[in-house]
Amino acid sequence: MKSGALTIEQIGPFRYRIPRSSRPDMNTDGMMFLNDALLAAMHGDESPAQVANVATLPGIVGNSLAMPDMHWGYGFPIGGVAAFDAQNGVISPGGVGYDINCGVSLTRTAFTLAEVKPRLSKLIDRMFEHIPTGVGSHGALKVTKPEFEHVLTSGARWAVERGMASEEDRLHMEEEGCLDGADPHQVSERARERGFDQLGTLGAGNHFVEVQVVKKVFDEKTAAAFGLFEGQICIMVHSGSRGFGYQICTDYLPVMNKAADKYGIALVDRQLACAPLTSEEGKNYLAAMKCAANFAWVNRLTMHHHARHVLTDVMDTREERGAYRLVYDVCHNIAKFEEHKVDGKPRRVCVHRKGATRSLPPNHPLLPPAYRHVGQPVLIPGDMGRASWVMVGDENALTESFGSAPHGAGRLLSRHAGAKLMRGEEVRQMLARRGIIVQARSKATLAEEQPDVYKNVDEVVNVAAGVGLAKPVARLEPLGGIKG
Amino acid sequence: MSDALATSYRIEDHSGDFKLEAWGRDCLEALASASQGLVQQIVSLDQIEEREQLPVTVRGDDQAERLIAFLNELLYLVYTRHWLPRRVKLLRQCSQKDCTELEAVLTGEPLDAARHEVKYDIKAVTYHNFQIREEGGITTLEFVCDL
Repeated sequence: MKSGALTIEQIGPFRYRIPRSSRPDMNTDGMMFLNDALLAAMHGDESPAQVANVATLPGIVGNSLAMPDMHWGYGFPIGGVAAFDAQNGVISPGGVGYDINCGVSLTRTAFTLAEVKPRLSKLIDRMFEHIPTGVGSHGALKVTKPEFEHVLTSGARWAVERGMASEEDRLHMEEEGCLDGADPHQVSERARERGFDQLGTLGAGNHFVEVQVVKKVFDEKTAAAFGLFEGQICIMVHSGSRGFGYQICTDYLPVMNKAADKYGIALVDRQLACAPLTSEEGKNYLAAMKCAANFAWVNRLTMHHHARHVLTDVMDTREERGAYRLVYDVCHNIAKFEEHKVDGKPRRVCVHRKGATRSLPPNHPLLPPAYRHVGQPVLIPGDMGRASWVMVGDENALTESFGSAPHGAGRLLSRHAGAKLMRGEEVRQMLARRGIIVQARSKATLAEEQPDVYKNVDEVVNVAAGVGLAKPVARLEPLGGIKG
Repeated sequence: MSDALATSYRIEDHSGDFKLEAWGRDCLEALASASQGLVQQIVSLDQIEEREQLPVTVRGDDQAERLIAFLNELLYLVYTRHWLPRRVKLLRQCSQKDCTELEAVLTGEPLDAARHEVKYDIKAVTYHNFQIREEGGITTLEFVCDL
């Protein structure tokens, strides 16, 4: 098959290769995990070319990868994963994205569908009142400037000290909710200014807080380890580092463009601007990126905290910390040093995941004790009308994808195309007829985020399971949510 | 010097984001058109009054860097300083060889939540597929915004 000038070969179930011989500048093969339906859903967009573009970057180890929810992004494709050698490879802000450490958290509760359903409308209304949403939302969490610096270096530890999460919650976060080595000196005043009052705010676009019910459990043992059971109410949060992260990426792209020139790195797309991991420019970006990652973890924990208070209040019960716990928190826009086996030998690499979730199998040393025997929860949000999934890391992910899995359903239609399908109020009413209550700051957001603009997340999960990137644990369905 | 208010841009679909194409008789006029197209996506220009002037200077080693820096400056003003530009007057010719700065005077007003509906949270103007084309006396800029 040809996609533009590229050759795409199906080399097995769910595996489509872009051979490096497709283009003279590719340093390695591209590998896309898809099925026929997901391939067709890409409508011939430019994401395969973006997979090939990433393959041109120096020091890339293994294949340039794309997860089943891949689609056209800027620079890296959305769903792109690439690992770079710690000594000879590069770091690229475009491989992380503007919304640094955008990610997902899932909280389990002790409540069942039967208990919450009669109060659902009130619950969603109260969440909408208490969690700032929408463009430029601010003011959820008042911090002093010294405290803000502490957030940037300590991440979730700061939230635990403030009583917004438990120590157990913190352990159930990727990297335990903090990337060490964050250096606020590498962050501009402008980034601070843009992000200072946005802690604890949801933002706009595809971000959400959603009340979900565990509809079906597929793996009883793992679900039990995660504290999940059928009929249980859970809360999912999807948000990132807000304007703070956007500004850090904006600030560093010109720096990286100059660095690429300085170190003789040819760029096929300036959004792929990068610097050697060992260079001053590369180290400075990583130190700043870590500040944004830590900001994002506190951001999601703050919303988790507010959602817990609203839930206990609406349910007219005393707060039960033991029952209200973070199942896990994953980042899906990040670059991190990790150790992976390459050609049978351990190798330290910097894994870029741009719209991809880390997926670790059982017995991995980075897992919290409670999940050591089952593997890492892989959280895959879908759309507001169908489903989201909890999967668990599979051994095969380490050999296929540097321990990575999809991060969502993946977009099928553009925002403008979505807006033409159905107006926001019609979307709200359509969902209400199905028993799903949605509150949004902007009606346009509802139109642009309606279920049909996304691929069917079940397809994405099937491919991820078919490749062995992760295994299905539970399918959760939305009951209601808030958006920007 | 360029001073545009005419609609000389169009929006095209791009996955979860959008692509903006703007044109003018030269680079600066195209940038002024692009600026208006960008702001229009956030707040309707009809809602913005020309009450204040704000000088802006951005730097960049090459033309693409300066133009993107300028467009990102507008996003900073809107989302962080809560100030809405309506008219963009560009003062310095960005194609001069020794020029690393781009100067402009913006006319607009502070954001007022009671009168201005902010529609989108545009994260940034990206370098992806950024193009400057000159054909038949018309300069066209094309860029992708991350939403």
